[in-house]
Amino acid sequence: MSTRDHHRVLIVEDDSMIADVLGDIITSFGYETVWVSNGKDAINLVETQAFSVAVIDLELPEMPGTEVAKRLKRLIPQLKYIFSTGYSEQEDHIDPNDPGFYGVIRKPFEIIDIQAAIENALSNH
Amino acid sequence: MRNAGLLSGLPLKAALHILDLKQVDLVRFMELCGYSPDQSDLEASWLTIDNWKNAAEYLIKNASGKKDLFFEAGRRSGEFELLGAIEFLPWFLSTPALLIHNIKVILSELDNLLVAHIDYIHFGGCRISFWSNSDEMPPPCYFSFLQGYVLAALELWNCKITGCSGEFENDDTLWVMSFGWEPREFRYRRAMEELLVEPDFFVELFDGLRRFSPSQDKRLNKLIDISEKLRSKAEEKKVTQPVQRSSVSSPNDQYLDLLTPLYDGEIRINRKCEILNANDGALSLLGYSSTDDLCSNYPTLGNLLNRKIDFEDLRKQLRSDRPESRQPFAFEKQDGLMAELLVLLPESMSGSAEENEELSIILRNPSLQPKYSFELGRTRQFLEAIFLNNPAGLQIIDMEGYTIRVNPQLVKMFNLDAHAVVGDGVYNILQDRTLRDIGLSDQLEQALAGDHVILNALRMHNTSKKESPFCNGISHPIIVNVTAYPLKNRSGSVYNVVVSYTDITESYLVQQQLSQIDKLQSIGTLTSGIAHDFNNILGAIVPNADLIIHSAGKSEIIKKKAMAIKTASKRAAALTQQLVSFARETQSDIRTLDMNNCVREAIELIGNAIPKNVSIDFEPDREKLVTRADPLQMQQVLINLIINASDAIPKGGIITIKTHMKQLRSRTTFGGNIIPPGNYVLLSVVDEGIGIPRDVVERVFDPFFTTKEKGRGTGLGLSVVHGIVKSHKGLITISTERNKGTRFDVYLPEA
Repeated sequence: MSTRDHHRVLIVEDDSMIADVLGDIITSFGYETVWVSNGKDAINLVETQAFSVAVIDLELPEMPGTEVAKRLKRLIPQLKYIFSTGYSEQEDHIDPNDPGFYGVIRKPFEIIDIQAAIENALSNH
Repeated sequence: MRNAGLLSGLPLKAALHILDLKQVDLVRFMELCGYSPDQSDLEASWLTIDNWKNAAEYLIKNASGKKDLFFEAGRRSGEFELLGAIEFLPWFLSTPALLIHNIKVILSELDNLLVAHIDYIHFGGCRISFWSNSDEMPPPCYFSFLQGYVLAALELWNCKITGCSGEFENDDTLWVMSFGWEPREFRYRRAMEELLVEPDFFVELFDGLRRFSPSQDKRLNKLIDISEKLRSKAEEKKVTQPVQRSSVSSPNDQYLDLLTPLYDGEIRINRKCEILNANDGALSLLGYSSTDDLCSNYPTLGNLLNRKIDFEDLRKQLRSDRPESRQPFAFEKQDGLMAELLVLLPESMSGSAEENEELSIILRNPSLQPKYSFELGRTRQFLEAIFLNNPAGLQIIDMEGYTIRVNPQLVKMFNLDAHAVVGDGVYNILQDRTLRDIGLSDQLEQALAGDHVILNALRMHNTSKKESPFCNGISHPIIVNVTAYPLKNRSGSVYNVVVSYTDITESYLVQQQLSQIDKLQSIGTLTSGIAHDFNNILGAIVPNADLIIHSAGKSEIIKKKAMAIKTASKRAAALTQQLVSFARETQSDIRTLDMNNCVREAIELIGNAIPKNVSIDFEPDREKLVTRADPLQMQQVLINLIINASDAIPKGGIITIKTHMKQLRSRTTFGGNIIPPGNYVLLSVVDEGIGIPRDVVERVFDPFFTTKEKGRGTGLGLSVVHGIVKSHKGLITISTERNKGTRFDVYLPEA
């Protein structure tokens, strides 16, 4: 455990069941997780707290995931983010060249999918 | 010798009725009319104009100074003139033969020096000019009085007036009055009957005649006999009551002859259809010399017609309007040959009480049916043309539901067996089972009761000939709009109903297709939406199952079962993915298109789907606006927006569609969607309707959200639009104000 730096993971997900299980899984990897259900809350939170990685649902109701990512990056330029999606068409809106972008996990994801994505994001920290 | 022309002369007998012959030597008068005492066929004598000229001259010359009938004659450069008093204007009008051939009748009002001149008179009307020999014309009220007086007299003669007018001409120096009447034969019978109701008048008329009768003229003797009888009757009853009609038309009454126009026969029958009496006309039409002669061979009407006749049926038939009751009957004549004669009810008799026991029927040679005057003929042609050429199918039904007429379009529309529907007289539309089932019969009953009834989108369908001669063997359903309206007479009672059928199958099918496309599109959008939600649900199941596996420890069972859950869920996810791909495949056909063309096509397509009171105003950008999009989907967007806009303007109005190039300087968002800055094709659909309330605006794009009544809106339209726009990387925004209108702006990336 000590080999891992203390990373905080932000989960931005409106579906509470998914957020719950995602939280459980990421916590089981040894990271601290914080959950917000919408983009606005994420932005507010990030002003006072630091995060290493954000797992952002692409299909958030009020502000699309891509927009959330952009705004979070403004506040934390070194933030890395992973998108989660249940509807692959939304992926067209992603800018793959943005340095903070670290991939997409598609619902329903398994533990290994989540693990791979998070470790990928954090390994280059 | 008959006159050619619209009215072929005036029967001599009529002349006798009309003129006051008190002043003249009747024999001499008759001679001048071309009649000699030994001539047996008085019936056949018609006044020729030459005869009449002579006779009239004679009459005039012999007129005494009495006021009752005063006229002078004069000749002026080839024109023959009769001068009389203006009060006798109607009498002159009742002698049309007089005037067809250029005999002017000038009636002068002696006191006023007013002169009336009958300009022309023919079978259907007349025109009379009035002028003054002094400087002053009488006031208009005088002419109104005169007009009323003439009208009353004409009505006494049973002219059915179709119109009359009167106005000043020529700088108010001339008053011109004209009358139009229905060109039937002069109804002497009716007129005479009216006269008979006033015995005093009648008695006086024939009393005068009496003075001039040569005893050897049997006809005139008859007239005198009648007058005697009437006079004594009148004295008997001290006439306060008019003479009952029944006494006039009682079978043995000798005036039967007098009362019937020359060329009509009349037969009187009782309830058993036994012939009680026949007039000379009937006898001559059938070739018999006397009633006894007729009755000894053919005691009943049935015998004459060679078939069974029922009194009630006959009476009903004669009263009906239907074409088949207008067909001639075949009578057997004395010589064994057949005579085709029309059978009619005498006009004055319809509805009278004594008809229950006995009936008078008129027999008429079909070729003697009155001919129409030119104007009326033209009107008739005009109406016929409208009826026959109307694009809607037209049908006229009578009070019992029998069809009187149909036009060719109706026959074609339903592949009608026209003969069965109209000709056979058996088919009744109110009893047609197939039509009952679709509710048409009820609506027709309503129309017969006096309502104007409209039925929209009625589906008519019949593949079996046996079921109905209506919709005879049409193999696919036709969709029609049906309107039934009653025809009412002056007293407000319905006598017929006109049913109009308009074929809307095509436009109905187009609407259906549009709605089909709509549904397919929305299924596509729905699928994506469902896939998303579904994946979210699975997205909760799978990782949880995963977690169970990881914390199962040694329990193989738990591991195994959790694996099973995972597998099943992933299978479900794969299925969803397939569905999404499938839906996507059927949707997209992206190509470069010109937005203005797209709008034009959509406007054309929408044609019938919006109400007639809504019009679309397209204001395109001058430039060509190009975007990459699926043309069918773009049409869907436009059609849905237009339909939405038209729903917002229920009282009708204009929907404006505009296109232009728009440069967005910054990111633009609306309703959870965002587009980057850049050049966009902006499509706006604007209505000045009821607007969208604030609490509704947010939900407008939700699937299944609708503000329309149950069954009217699917709620899918705008969500489809939203989905399409989004998938094209565009944005749709709404700007709305209550009761002012709504504007939808669709941004699509420029190609």
